[in-house]
Amino acid sequence: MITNDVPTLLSALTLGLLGSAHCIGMCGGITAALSLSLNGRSRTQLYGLMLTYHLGRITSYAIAGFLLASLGWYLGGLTPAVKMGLRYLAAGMLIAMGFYLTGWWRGLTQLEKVGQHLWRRIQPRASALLPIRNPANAWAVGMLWGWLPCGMVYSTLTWSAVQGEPLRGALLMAAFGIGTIPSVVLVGAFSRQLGIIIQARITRNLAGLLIIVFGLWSVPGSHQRWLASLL
Amino acid sequence: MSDNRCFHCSLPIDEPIRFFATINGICQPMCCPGCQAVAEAIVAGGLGSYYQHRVGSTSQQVTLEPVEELAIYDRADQQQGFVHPADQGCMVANLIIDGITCAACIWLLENHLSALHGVVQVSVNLSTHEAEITWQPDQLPLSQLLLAIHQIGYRASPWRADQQEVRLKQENRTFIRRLAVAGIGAMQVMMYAIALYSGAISEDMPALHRDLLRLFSAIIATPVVLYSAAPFYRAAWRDIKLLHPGMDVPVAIAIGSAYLASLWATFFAEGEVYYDSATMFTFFLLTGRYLELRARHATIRAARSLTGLLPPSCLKAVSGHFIRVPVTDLQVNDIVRILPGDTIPADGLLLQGTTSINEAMLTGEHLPRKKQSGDSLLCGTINMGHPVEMRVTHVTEQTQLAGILQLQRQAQQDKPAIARLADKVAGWFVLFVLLVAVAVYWVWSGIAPDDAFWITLSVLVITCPCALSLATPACLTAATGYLHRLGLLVTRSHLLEGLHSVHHIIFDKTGTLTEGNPALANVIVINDTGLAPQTVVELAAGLEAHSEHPIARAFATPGRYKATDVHNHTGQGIDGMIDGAHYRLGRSDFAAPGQQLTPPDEQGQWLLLSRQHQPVAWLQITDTLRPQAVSTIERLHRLGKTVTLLSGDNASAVARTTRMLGIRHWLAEQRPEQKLSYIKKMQAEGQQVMMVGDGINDVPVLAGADVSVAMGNASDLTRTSADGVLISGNLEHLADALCLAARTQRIIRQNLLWALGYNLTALPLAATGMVAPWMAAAGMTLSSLLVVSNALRLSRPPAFLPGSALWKV
Repeated sequence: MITNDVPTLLSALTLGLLGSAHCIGMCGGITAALSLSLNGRSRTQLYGLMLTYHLGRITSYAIAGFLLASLGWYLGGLTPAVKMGLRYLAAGMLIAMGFYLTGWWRGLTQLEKVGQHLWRRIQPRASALLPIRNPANAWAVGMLWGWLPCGMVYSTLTWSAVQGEPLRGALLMAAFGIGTIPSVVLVGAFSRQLGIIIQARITRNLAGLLIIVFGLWSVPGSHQRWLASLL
Repeated sequence: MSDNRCFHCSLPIDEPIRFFATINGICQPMCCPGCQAVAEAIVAGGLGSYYQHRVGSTSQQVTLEPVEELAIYDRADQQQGFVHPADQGCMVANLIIDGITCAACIWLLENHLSALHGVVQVSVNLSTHEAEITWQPDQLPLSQLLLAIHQIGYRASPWRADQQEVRLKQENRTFIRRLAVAGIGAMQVMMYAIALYSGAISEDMPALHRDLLRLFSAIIATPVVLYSAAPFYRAAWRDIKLLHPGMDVPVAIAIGSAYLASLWATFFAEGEVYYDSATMFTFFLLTGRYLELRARHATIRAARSLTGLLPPSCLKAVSGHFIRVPVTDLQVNDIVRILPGDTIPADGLLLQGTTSINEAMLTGEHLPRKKQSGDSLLCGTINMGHPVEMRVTHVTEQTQLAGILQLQRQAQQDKPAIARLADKVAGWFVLFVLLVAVAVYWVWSGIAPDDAFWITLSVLVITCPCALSLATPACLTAATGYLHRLGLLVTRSHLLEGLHSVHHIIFDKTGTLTEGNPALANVIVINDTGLAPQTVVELAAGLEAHSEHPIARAFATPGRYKATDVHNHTGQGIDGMIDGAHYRLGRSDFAAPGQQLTPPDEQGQWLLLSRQHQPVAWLQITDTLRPQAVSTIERLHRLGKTVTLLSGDNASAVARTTRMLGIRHWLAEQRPEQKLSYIKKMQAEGQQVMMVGDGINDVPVLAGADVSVAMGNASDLTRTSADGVLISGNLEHLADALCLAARTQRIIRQNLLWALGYNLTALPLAATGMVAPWMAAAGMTLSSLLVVSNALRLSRPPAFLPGSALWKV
C-alpha cells in the first residue's frame, strides 16, 4: 500500500494538530457560529453535522492538494532545478508558517491577501448556503468554506506540490485537514479552559517552533538521508 | 505587546492593525485576512448574532447556549421551587449537577464554587448529585453561579422532581447502552483473545491469521473504548485540568494506553495486544458503576417518594360546588373535599365529621389515626375513612411535608467528617497509585521490557480505589434510609456518628417522655378572688393562645379574652395584659414572686395564675406518659447508657415521672440555661451527651449537646436545630437508632478495612507481575461489589436485637 507515505502523512497530520492554536480561534469560531443555527438539535445530530462540515472542508483541501501536486509534478518534470526550487520553496513556506503561528513574523498574511481574491468569488455562495439544515448542506458548506484564505493551508499546499504525484498531494492535504479536526471539534466538547490553554502564547510558540524545526529539516540536503538511515 | 485582540479569534494583534471587518454595524479589528473572511462570511450568512452571544472567547460552542438559557434563572418567578431564602439576606439554591462521577468531583465543585465571590456555602451530594448552594444574590446573580459550574465541565439545573425523573431515566438508558456495547464487545474480543493466546502458545498460527484476528479485535474494541469508556476520560480530563487526580485518572490511563498500545501492535506488527483487558476492564468498571447508579437512583426516589405522593389535582369548593383544580392553585382558607383513598393536597384543619388518616409516609406509623373536626390534616397523608372537608392552612412550600423534605435534603447535603476524610484519602491514594505505576514501569523496563507494559496496566487496574471511596457513603446512605423508615428523620449527617459514641442521654419531660397532649384536670380558685373557674380557664387560654409551649395545648379553645403585650418566659411561664390588668401564668415563684405558695396537691403539675402579682387560681395539668417510655428507658439502661431527666416542671411532678420510668438521675425546675450548663458540665467530664427534647423550647439545649433529637410532634419542624427528628414519636426507635449507629460504624470499619486491605495486598502481587490485567479487572469489581452489598445490610433489620421494636417492623 502506501506505507512509504506513512511518515509524510503523519507529519502532515501533526502539522494540522500543531496548527490548532490558529484553527481554534478561526475555525472554532466558524463551528460555533454554524452550530448556533442548529440550536435545539440533539448533541449527536450536532456533532454529526459538524463532522460532515469538516469532511467537506477536508475534501476541498484534498482537491486543492491534488491540483497543486499535479502542477508540481508537471513543473518538476521540466527540469530537476525547478523540482529542487520547489522543495526549497516548500521548506521556506513551512518555516514561514511557524513564524506565522508564533506571531513573530506574519509574512503569510500577504499570501492570504492573494487568497482573498479567490474567496471573494466563493463567499456569496458560501454564505447563501447558510444556515446548515442537513448533512448534504453541511458537506457543501464545508467544501466552500474550505477555500477560506488561510496561511496554514497555503504552506501545506506548497508542500503537497513537491510530493511528485497528484494523489499523494491530495492524501497529504487530507491528512493535514484531519489533523485540524480534533482542536476544532473537541474544544467545543470540552470547556473553555482547553481553548485558553491551546491559544496561550507558550503553546503557540512551542507549536510554531516545532513547525520551524520541521521546515528546517525539510530543506533539501544530506541531513535528510542521514536521519532516514537512522530510522 | 499591544492589548489589541482579533475580534473573531481573540488572538493578539500587533500594531498597526491592517484588517477590519464590519460586524453588526461596528468596524472590528481582525488579525489576518482569514479571520476577516470568516467574520464577513458569518455576518453575510445571517449568523452575526453569534458574536453577541459568545462570551469571553470564541471557543465557546457549549457554553454558548447556556449563557442565554441560564439568564432566565435570575428572574424571581423562575427561581420559585428550588431557591429558598436563608439567613442574612442569603439565598439557598437546590440544584442537580450532571457529570459527577466520583468523590473527587464533589471536592472540585465545592472548592471551585466556594472560591466565587458571594458564595457562602456549597455542599454537593455524591449519591444524589444534588447541590445546595448558599449565596448572596446581591453579590452574584444565580446565572453566574450556574455558569461557573458549566465552566468546569458540569451541567447544573434546578432541582425539580419531574425534571429529575426524566434525568434519571435518561441517565439510566445511556448507561445501559454503554454497558451493552461494552459487554457484547468484551465477549467478542475475549473470543478472539482466546484464539490468539492458543495460537501464541502452540506457535503454529500464521502471521496473517494473527494479524487478521488482531484487526477484528481492534474494530470491535474501538466502540467499547471510545464510546462505553467515554465517561472515564471525561472525568479524568476534568481532574487533570483542575490538578486534582481522582480515581478516573488511572482508569482512563489504563484503558487508553492499553488500547493505543494494542493499536500500535496491530498496525506495526510489534508488541502484544491488550484489547481483551481494555474491553473487560471497561465492562467490569461500568458494571460496578451501574450498580452504584441503581443504588443512587433508589435513594433519590425514596427521598422523593414523599413529593411523588402528592395528587396533581383536588376538589375545591367554588361557590358551593366542588370542582377539580390543580393542587398548585390552592390558596390558604380554600375548602377542599377529600374522598376516601385520596391524598391530602395541603395542610389544613378538618372541618366536620370524623375519619381516619394514614400518616405512614410522614411518621412511619402504619396504623391509621383517628381525626375529628378541628384536628389538623397533613399534606401527603391519605384519607382512609369517610369523605371529609378541610380548610387549607398551609400550601406548597409552607406545608409540613415541604419542611420535612427540606430537612431531608439538608441532611443529604451535609457531609459527615468520616466521608470527607475518605474523599481526601482517595485523592492521595490516586496520586500514590500513579507514582507507583511509574515506578513499576521504570523498574520492569530494566528487568523485562516486554512485560513492563502489561504489569503496569495490572497495577493501575487493580489499585482502582473504587471500593475505598464507596465504603463510607454507601453505609451512611443505607443506614439513613433505614432510620427514615423507622420514623427518625436525620437532619444533620453527623447524627449517626454521634449516636455511636453517646454515653449520656438527657430527656426533657413534657412532650418528650410524655405525650405532650396536656389536659386541664382541675381548677382551684384561691378563695378571696371570687372568680368563676370558667373565667379562670378563659383568662389562661387568652394568655396561652400566644404560646407554643406544649402546655398551651391544654387550653386549646380560645375564650372571650384577648391578651396583649404577651411575653413568654422560657421555663417559667407567660405574662400579658388582659382588660388592662397584668396577668401571669406559670410556676408559682414566677406568677407570684416572693410568696412561697405550695400547690394544693402533691400529684400532677400545678400552674399558678396571678393578677397584678396576686395569686388568683391554681390550674392542674396532667400529661400521660408515652406508651414506649418505660421500655425504652429500660433498654437504654441495658445498653449501658446513663439516662437523666431535666425538666422545667416542679420537683414533685418530675419525681413521680422518674419513679414510674425508673430514671435514677433527675433535676427539676430547670430553666433552659440551667439545662445547658448541666450538659456543659457533663461534657467537661468527658461524656458525649445526647439531648432528646421538644424542638422549640429546648433549642439552645439541643444545640449544646453533642447529638440532639427533637420529637416530631414539636411545633414547627423547619425551625428545629436538632440533628434528628423523631417524627414517629415512638421512643423505642431511639434505642433502635443507637443500635443501628453502632452497627453502621462496625460495617464502615469492615468496608474500609477490606478496601484498603485488598488494594494494599493486590498492589505488590500486581507489581511483581503475578496478576494478568484481566484478573485485576475482575478483582477490582468483586471488591466494589462486596463493599456495596455489605453496606446494604444496614437497610435491613439486624438478625438479632434483643427487646427491639425492629422485630415488629
